[in-house]
Amino acid sequence: MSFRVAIASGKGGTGKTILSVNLALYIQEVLHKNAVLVDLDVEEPNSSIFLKTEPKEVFEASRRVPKFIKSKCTNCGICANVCMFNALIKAKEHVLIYKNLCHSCNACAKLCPEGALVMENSRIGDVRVFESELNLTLIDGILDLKEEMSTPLIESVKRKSDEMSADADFIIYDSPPGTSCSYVESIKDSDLVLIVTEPTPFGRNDSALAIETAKKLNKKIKVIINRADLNESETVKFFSEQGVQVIAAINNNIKIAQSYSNGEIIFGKFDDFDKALNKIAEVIIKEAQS
Amino acid sequence: MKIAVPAEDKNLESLIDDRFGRAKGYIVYDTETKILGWIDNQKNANASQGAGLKAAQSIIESGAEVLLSYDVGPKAFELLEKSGIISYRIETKIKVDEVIAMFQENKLKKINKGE
Amino acid sequence: MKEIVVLSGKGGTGKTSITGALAAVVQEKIVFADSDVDASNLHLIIGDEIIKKEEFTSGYIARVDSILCNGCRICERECAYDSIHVKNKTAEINEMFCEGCGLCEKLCPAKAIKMDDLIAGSIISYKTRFNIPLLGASMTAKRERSGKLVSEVKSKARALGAEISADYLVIDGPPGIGCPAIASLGGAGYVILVTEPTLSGFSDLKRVFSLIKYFRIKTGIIINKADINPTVAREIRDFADNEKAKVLDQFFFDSIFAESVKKNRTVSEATENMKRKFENLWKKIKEEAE
Repeated sequence: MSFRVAIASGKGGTGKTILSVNLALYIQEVLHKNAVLVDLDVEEPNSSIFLKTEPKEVFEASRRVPKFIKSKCTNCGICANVCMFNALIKAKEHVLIYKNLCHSCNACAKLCPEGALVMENSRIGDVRVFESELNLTLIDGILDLKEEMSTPLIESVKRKSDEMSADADFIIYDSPPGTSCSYVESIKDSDLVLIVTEPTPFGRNDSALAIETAKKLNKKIKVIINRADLNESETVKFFSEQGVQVIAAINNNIKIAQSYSNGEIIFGKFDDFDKALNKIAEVIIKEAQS
Repeated sequence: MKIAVPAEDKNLESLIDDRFGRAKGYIVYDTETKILGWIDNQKNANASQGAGLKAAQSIIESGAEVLLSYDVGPKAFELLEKSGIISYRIETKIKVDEVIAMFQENKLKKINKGE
Repeated sequence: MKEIVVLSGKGGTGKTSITGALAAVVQEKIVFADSDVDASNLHLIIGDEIIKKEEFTSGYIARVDSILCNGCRICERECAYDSIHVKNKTAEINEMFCEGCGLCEKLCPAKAIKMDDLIAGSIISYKTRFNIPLLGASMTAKRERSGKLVSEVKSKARALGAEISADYLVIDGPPGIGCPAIASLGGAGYVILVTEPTLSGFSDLKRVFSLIKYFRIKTGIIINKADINPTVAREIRDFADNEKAKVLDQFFFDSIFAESVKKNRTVSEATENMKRKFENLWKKIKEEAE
């Protein structure tokens, strides 16, 4: 059974993707274990940039929304009454469906006494599968512009990656920023949550929110400090007060930023970064064994 | 004709409610029979979304032909328009009977597209 | 009152740092709002004295009366979000996943489920160090779409703006292109996109730009950490030219940004040079936003 690690943060731009990509590669190349990289930042997926690869397969992803069958409708208005999201409006003899308000709960279709509403698929984006020359499989999702909800697509990406990860020792989820529904969906099936933070009030504030939510989901949580300076005792103390262990600190290095800006793989180029990857991988393996 | 006005209470002397979708309720006043109707909107107040649409639905069902309101969102506006209801903009928070009088004296401007 | 929204697509490009630095130099009557409700940070650098905190209820949550419940499992089977599980003959609702659709309430043969109003978070009014009001929020319900909370923050900010006859409302927006970003754009007169010259940043910039084009709002671009990759910075400028979006300004990487945040200050307060730079930037923004 694959061990699932979610790389998350709360604050955007702390280094989730750079870490997810390089960690997955490290696990494959150095530890010779099977890893699958899954990019769940469906609003702005970036992992493929670093693997310099185009999608091998693309699958349309959709969510369920009701379809109105006028011939069966008796104008009872039950559907509009039961929808808590106001996605169905009874306007004279028609039922209007506002798809972008629909939460796919099924209540209208289930409760319509005449069967005048059936659930059908509505496109939200694509799930993409990539093979890279580094032999790492990447699965991501890309949300259609103007689609408001990421969670249904995140679910689809996870389902597809589960199908393809039967042989994987590790699944690395590159999670989206934020601390609410897309974050919850991204970490909810993981065995370990690694919060990547920066040693600033912004980083601490947002990590605290992310940790609070992960705790409510009963997740195992560890922290990685990115862009650290020589003395991060304040930040380390902060996390120990949260009851969460800091397992690695990656030093601030403009050369890493420059390399990242060109979409380059970082591992193998900077000692400090590689040491951190090693420590993180050790923790992951230890957790997987327990 | 029936005129709908979002209001804070169910009589002509009450102030208009400056919200549309989450107004306390809507007065529906029939100018011919002078009968006052009231649509309570309390249960819509907590809606996370689509409150304007639900409000529009209630107003359509009441048989109102005209809506007088501060503000109507684009989706609700479109729905009202499609159902043949014309919306006019209220600019200041006054009493329901005052705003109805202003409408009857042609002093209110039409809302052209939801804002 | 002109509404100016600051977005980025990619997280961590410097939206909050730049918005905060502008707050320190504006002379006009103005209101600031933090619509990054998942991970609110602006108050950490412009002043976080709370004047008012109002509970925000939105949507519903299912509650089970364990005395009436007979454990029949109909709710468990029908819940589209897998948020109900029967344990010890009683249905238990997982509040992290319940979306408040009410289907369980309507199907329960024992009438054991009731929908309660959900307290989704709070709207917070801050007094800042610059005597400018700031509206922000905190989210407690994690599965609620943050778009609704964003709309409420903006609504309160507009009302406050009307009260004080403010000329501008500046909104520090969230990363991404999903529902909180879309909700932030409603009513915007001008958008500032803060980007960084990395392949990831540029890719995300293009996506958020396409979204804004759909809403037809005039846009300006700020390139932050511009010297990290002059080649990509050039590509971004070419892109801006093609799209007829003005590059308002660019900032070189400067440790003073992180240092200021660490002191809970804006970068305009760090040096005279920075203060002047932001004064000029604000002047340009006002001209472009006309």
